[in-house]
Amino acid sequence: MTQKKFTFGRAVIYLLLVLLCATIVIAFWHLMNLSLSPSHIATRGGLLLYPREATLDNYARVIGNRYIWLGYKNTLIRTCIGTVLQLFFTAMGAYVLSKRFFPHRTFWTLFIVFTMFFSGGLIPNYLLVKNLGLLDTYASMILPGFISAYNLVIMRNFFQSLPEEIEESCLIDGAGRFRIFLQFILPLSKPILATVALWLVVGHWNSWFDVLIYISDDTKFTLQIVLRRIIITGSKEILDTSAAANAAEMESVVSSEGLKAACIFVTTFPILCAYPFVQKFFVKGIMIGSLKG
Amino acid sequence: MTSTVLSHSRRKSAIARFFSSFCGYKKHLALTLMFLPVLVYFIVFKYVPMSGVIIAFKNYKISRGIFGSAWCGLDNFTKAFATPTFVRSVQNTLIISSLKLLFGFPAPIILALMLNEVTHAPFKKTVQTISYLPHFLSWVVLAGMFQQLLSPNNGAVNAVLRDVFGVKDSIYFLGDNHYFRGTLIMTDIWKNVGWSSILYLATITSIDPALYEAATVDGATRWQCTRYITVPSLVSTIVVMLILNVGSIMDAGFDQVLNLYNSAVYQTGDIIDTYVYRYGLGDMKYSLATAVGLFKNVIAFVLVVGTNLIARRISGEGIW
Amino acid sequence: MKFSRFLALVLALMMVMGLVPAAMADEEPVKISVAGYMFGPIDNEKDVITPLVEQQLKEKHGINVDIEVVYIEQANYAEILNTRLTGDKAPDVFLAQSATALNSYYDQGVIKEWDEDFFKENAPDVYNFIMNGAAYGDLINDVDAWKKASLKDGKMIVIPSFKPDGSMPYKTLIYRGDWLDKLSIKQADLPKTVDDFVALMDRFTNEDPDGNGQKDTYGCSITAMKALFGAYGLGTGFVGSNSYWVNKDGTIVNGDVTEEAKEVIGILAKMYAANLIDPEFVTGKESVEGSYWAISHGMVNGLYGVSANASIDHYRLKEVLNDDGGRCAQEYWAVNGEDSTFVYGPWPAGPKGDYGWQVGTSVAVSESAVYNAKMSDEKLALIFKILNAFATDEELYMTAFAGIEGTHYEKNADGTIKRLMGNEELNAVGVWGCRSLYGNDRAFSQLGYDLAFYKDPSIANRLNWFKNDQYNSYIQDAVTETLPSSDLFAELNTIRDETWVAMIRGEKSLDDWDAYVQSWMNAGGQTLTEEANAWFNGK
Repeated sequence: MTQKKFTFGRAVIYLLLVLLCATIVIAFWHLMNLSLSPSHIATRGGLLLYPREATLDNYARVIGNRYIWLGYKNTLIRTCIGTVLQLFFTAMGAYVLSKRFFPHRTFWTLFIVFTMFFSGGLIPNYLLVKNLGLLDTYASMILPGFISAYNLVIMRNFFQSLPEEIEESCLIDGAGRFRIFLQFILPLSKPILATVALWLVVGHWNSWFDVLIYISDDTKFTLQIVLRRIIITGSKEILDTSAAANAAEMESVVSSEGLKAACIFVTTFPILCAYPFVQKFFVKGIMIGSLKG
Repeated sequence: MTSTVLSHSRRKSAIARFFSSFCGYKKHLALTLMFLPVLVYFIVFKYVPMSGVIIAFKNYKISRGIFGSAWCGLDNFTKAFATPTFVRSVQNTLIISSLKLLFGFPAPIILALMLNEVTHAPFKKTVQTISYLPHFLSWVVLAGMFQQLLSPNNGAVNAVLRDVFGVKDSIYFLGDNHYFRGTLIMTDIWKNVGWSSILYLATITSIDPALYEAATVDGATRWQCTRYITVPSLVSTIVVMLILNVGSIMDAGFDQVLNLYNSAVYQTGDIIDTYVYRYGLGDMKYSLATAVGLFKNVIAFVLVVGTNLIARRISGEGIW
Repeated sequence: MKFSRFLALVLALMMVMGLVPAAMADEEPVKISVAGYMFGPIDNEKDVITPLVEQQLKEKHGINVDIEVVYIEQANYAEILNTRLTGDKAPDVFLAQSATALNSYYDQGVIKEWDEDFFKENAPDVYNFIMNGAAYGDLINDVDAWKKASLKDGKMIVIPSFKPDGSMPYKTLIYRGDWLDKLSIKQADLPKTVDDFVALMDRFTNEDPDGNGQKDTYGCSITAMKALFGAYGLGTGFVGSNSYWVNKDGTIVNGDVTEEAKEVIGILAKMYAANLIDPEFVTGKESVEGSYWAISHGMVNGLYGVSANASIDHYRLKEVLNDDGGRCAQEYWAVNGEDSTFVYGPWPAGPKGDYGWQVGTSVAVSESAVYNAKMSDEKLALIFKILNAFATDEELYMTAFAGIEGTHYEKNADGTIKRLMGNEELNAVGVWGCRSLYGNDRAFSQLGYDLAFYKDPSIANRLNWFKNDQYNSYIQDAVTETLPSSDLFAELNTIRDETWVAMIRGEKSLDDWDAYVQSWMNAGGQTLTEEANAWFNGK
């Protein structure tokens, strides 16, 4: 497409995008400087354009924690296994429901969507996991949220937009549905698979509440849990007079803004690297060759 | 006589049709088998625990368990809803969510369309990557930053308003009922616009480039390309996302509001979840918490069904 | 013959087998799981203290137990514990984090109850210690309150803590030294009445005390505002907490709806209109989310001049204990310079001569140990015996509380201890792990009380300070029990906070006070007031 490179509309778009990015970059720059600062710098407040008293203490404290690598390991296990399995089964379910001739298709869709809205709450879910013997297992991090109705609906929507002629020709050639799914549909769906995979990866990477509730074995703690334990903040509730008893105990129950900022970077850095990989799957023109054949 | 014979056969064929549809499962055996694990998952992990929702109608005691606790009808609901503050929190939830839908829903779409116009590949990739970064910051962290930024005591925004635009009085964005909701929406957009645009970008990339080529040959402008090719290809995604987002209308962003609000803005900013939080409903008052949760879910579901119906009427597409 | 021999063999076998379980019962330690206190990530394998405790209990007291310390994060303590309770996976001994939590546990039927005699039988020394008014008999007048706090429907459900410092003053006003210097004000000149206080706030706002030529300073923020409530005898919960009840000639009224409260709001409204109060008092620059609660960010950064967020211990000078100074003092010096100063100020007194801040009581159930209802009576008896062992055996207590002498702590000449490692490291090796087994902050023994309170120099420093005139505080709650309808406070506090903020900021007129009182009463205030009076009269 050869268009005029410079129009007023283009300029406005570029300007807005730059503005958006500038604000975001400044925010992260501030946090980065904060992570390199001792606690009283945070007390002073204000926007940090450079670290006034640079120190690696915060990072040392986070990375030096002996549980950090265990946390990374467990998070990686959960993320990799979980994402691959979940992606596969969600896609499979979405594929089936994208076929208009599948019996009672509307009913099954509703059946699944209904679960997005109604839930028994924390206790019944906890009791289920417990009764299935899944407490303190990796399975408890993957199974309870295995298939997200949200993801399934979005994937189904994408599959519906794929032209049916491809499948017709494969069926005529004698291929089974499952083979078609594996060898044709999935490769054609790279953008949506990459997107949902990204969502799943981020979901696993950031989740902490399920580990908090289901896991008490500390060899299975994930990164987020370890970090939360590092950042034990002095909460406002410790304000009543009778808590004066052991001021020494309370004094160490503190974290600085700098430490929290360091934790953010330690957690988020790997994920930030993930997106450029994902972008590779947003590839145009996959469809062209397949139809002309 | 004929009519009864006819209706009899109509009924018979209706029943036959119902049962014969089950033969469809056998006919499409591969698909059925592929669907089975998904079905099992939803039954075991979603529908089985859903039965626990009866806690909302019981006076749940841990020592008695779910099935041993006594029924109490709608007591939990009347207890939770009895206060005018609760009613107000429902209003605020709906208003804030609607505003977020109105302004926050189109934002990622617009961003995706804008990015699509960028031909300079490195710039496009950079902007994409930067734009989704704030999604990873928790509201706890962001609240601290925004409180400083929007502070009436020399926060950067007020400084700019005063020095550049000549506004006399500082605006207390987070402490003024006139500005609080707007602040919620703007900050939410800033945080999530990049991340939410990923799906739309993915959809755009799978549009057949041949369409664009054909349009250009016919002399279409960029704007016309966008309007007649890009946007229509996004419609089904947009409809689905819209319906799904309506489903979370009762949520309104607990994390965000909790970290940003204060008693000066309860009037416009107190949502159901923050009300519940203050009331301590989380603290072992499971019956009450489940009752409020059920209330939220019913409303959300009804709204989604309605939106789906409307969407099908208008665009022919819907989730079901 | 063969049969009888066979029979004899079988009988002999049965006897041996009968003995074996009995013998094994002697060998098999009883498993007890306790909730420990967490400072940071813990590795149970590195725990050296708990095995030592078990060993000492077995050798010196004949108590054979296997203690499992379960660490639950403080930040999500309630959620994690409560979920485990529903699934029957909660530890045997855990903590009730507040009086409300205790009531909830009782309602839910998850904690054990026992008779006073049962307690007396199994933990006699602890029982006598408490009944005699704790160490040195200081709390003899509060023994009845202790008993009452431990009982629910005639049975004991918790061992409340019994602390002399619970009813002692805690907070003090802190002024910025540099501002006082600039305005030529000495400590003796600091305001002692409300009018003088307001006048000083005016000077802070208008006379450029930070000398930068700009009008960017304020008098005070929320904590100093609360001090004004004290000047009218009110212990206020504004913002966000319950206020104290007031005894007005035999009738109990909640502080939030008294005429005095109206007067204070009137004063605050005038102050706000004159720009003496930081407009962000609502979001609180006093206590910034995520950092140490006691640091008043606004005061430390020179936004306003006075704050009452912390105690004299937090702002302790280096000379007092020959150390780096209090936590907040260190922060203050780091931000403002090593030579910067701050000054402790007296509470402003009101028209009736009242002044001060809230004080608590010596009896508290928050952070007290409760016992899982699923436990057998024998196990509970054993736990009480352990509690007693800690109270009588100094070496045992020191092991659990401080660690191994020479490795984890050293004894000072004055009877206090000096810890040799940071709290996190100590916690990691198991110190404080058995906390719930020995009575939380201190064992019910003179040693425990000495270490935690009577011989602690920073506490002595604090209490001596508060003997100064108009520096102590004694606003007490007229109702010391959690009322049955306490849930209603959530709604009442919301109404109060919204209304008062609006009135202070001039968005609402003080003429609406009566309407506010009415809505407060209608939303449950009436019920609570009746309950409070019933409790008071039934005393």
